[in-house]
Amino acid sequence: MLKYSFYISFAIFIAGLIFRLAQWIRFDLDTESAEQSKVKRTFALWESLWNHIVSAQVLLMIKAFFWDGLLQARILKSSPLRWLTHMSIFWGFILLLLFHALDDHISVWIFPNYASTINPYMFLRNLCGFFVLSGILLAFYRRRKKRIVKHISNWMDYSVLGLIAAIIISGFLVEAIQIISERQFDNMVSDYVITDDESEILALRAYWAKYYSVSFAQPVDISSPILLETGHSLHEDSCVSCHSRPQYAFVSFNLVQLFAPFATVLNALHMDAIILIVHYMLCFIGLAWLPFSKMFHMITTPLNYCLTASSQESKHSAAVANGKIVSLDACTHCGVCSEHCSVAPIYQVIGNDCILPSEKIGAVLSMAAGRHPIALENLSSGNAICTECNQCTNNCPSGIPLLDIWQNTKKELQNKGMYRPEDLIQSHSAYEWAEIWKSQKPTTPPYQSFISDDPQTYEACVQCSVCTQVCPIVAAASNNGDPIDVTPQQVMNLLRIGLKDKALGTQMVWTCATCYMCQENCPQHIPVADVFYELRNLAHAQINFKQTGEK
Amino acid sequence: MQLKYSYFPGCKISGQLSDYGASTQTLMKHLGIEWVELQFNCCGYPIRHQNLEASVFSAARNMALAEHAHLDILTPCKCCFGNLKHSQHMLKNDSELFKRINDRLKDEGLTYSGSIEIKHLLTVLYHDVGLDSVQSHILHPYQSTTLVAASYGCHALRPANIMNFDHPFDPTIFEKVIAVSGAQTVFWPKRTECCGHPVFEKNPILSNDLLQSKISDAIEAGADIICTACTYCQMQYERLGQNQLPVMTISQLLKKAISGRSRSLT
Repeated sequence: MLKYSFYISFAIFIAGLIFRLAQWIRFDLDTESAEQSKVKRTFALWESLWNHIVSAQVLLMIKAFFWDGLLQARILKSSPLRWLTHMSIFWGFILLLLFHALDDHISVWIFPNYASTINPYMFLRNLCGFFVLSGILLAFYRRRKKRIVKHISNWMDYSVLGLIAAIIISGFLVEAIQIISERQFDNMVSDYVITDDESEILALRAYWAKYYSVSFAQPVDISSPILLETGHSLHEDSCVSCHSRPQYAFVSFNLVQLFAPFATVLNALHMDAIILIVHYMLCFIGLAWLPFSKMFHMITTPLNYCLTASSQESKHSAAVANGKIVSLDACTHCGVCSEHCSVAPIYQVIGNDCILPSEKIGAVLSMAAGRHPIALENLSSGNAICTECNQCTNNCPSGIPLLDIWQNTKKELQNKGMYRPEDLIQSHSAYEWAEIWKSQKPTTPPYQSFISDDPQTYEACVQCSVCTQVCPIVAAASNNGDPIDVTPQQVMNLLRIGLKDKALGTQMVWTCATCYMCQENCPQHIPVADVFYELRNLAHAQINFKQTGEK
Repeated sequence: MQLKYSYFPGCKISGQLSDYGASTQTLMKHLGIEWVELQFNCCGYPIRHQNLEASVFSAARNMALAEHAHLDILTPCKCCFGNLKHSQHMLKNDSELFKRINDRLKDEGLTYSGSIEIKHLLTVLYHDVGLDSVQSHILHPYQSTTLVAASYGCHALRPANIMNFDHPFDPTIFEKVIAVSGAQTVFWPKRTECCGHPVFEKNPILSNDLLQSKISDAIEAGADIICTACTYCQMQYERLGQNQLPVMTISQLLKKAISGRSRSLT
């Protein structure tokens, strides 16, 4: 059964790998990529791989793989604690995979005296498992403790941590239960002990009960020095070459103390065999799930390090298109970008996930896959808020050129007809907007000071037109022959006579340069520019309402 | 007394205009100004069009971080300066907003009380360091035939009752700081007008018109160099007007007068 389970999970792993590789060709991040034929992009993928390998860049790539991939220098740069966390999980798991899971294929060839129950292998296996578990705990703690990371952490993040933890814990359990298992002892005796002498076997049982913590159903006398002496000499002959003392399996051995009282029941239930199957199955689930989960980053992230290390600019647009998707795939959803994101506080007020870079990546990928129109709208309004401070790119431990992706996405969203409010507002006149917005439920931002609704704001306005005369926008617009629709003074008048709805979509309000010339020059001290700001806030709420159809 | 600030570069310096950030830091080093870099976020200026509360909250978070460090904020960007000051004003005069913002800050263990000051690089040079002290560092003064046009940047000037930066239409602080470098300043009527950056994304043609009218005004006044003290203004000049007149930031201008080294100017 185990064999077939392995074949099935391996087949799923390979299928998943092909599926993910196909995505690099299938997904179109922008119109330019979409124009490339898929056949061309398939060839480009191999061609660029080959070109990178045969070029002089290969040394740079090896260096990147060594420093960033194996030693994870970028994570160290961003946070020593996260580096410790990730190194513990990564190296602990890799060493377990190579020398424990694949011991029949690797360890036995490298180490002439290899046996899984002998030191240093037994001790090192526990040490690796201990490191992985500590790393998992640190990672879990980080995801619960850090405000923004806690918010963005999703079921995928937790279930990957949970799965790895379950694999390691089940491994420790197997080892612990095997240590106390009488059944294991009996099997080993029948396989490896030459003597048939019952009394000698009894002596060995005593020896193993005392020094190897085996729990026997029948009580064994472990106080007789002579018995132990006999047991010891048989042990020396048959067992010691493969068995170190269980104390060296320092994690499992401590678990033994926990299970010892139930040893008889566990032995009777064949619990060692059951947990072993669970341990195997969890590993197989991990293997099958790897390409579909974020664990795939163990392939894509080093690949991305190598690609970005190579300064060789690809001339083929097909290869560029592939490269962009590969770099997006390198995301581990660690959330460092969102922690450093300059506009994260805005997310706290507005509440669109697509403001945060770590969440935008998912939305950009689904845009590339051509899915989810609603997500596109959120992506569009979230991405528009980015101030291009580049902190995400500077801090990304996976080396993803995030800012480039956001800038590309901005263009691509416009190609897809997702206009920014500033562009959308120009598609109708202010009066048309008033009609459109009249039919929809009025929405306001959660907080407004509402000076535009307060009659006292304009009470003193004498329509002297100073605001209009000093406005650089009014002057520049009429100079180039395209006068502004209504002047600042006229906007004030609209508000005075209660036609605020007609003012919200005016070019004047939306093209205001916020230079405060009007407000500062107003002889009646009317806060013209502040009112414009407020009107834009209100109009934004309306126009966003129309775009997303929700909130 | 040792001058020490929390340095607030603003998003555009880290993303687009690292030169201004680097030269500002060099200048501060030369002048013996100490600074710390806190985990600041966006000042809230760009989002103010869309959502006032988000804008004030962004600003308040920065100010709360600076309060926590007991340091005034120094920023070389006038739009950051303007929005931080404006938010400070809003929070002082709107108790409901003050409460909402502090409720949000509490999640992070921060509080905003309004105990620190927001300072622009120019006000620090003029009021805190003092022009005499700056002067004493100038070892390679410009020739007095070099005519510099100071481009003020709106958001630090107006509304004057909130900004308290200088006179909203007839300011002098920038010219006085430039004069320390040995260069002469010119008077040009449009020096306090908008550079056009705020409307660049909405209407690039209008934006360019605004900038060009400023540049022609500076040329008419005989300027050899335009000097800015705002990240956004500098970006706007570099993007649309670099070929007509050399444009440099106050940090680059002073750095050159102090150390004699700078990027070439043409």
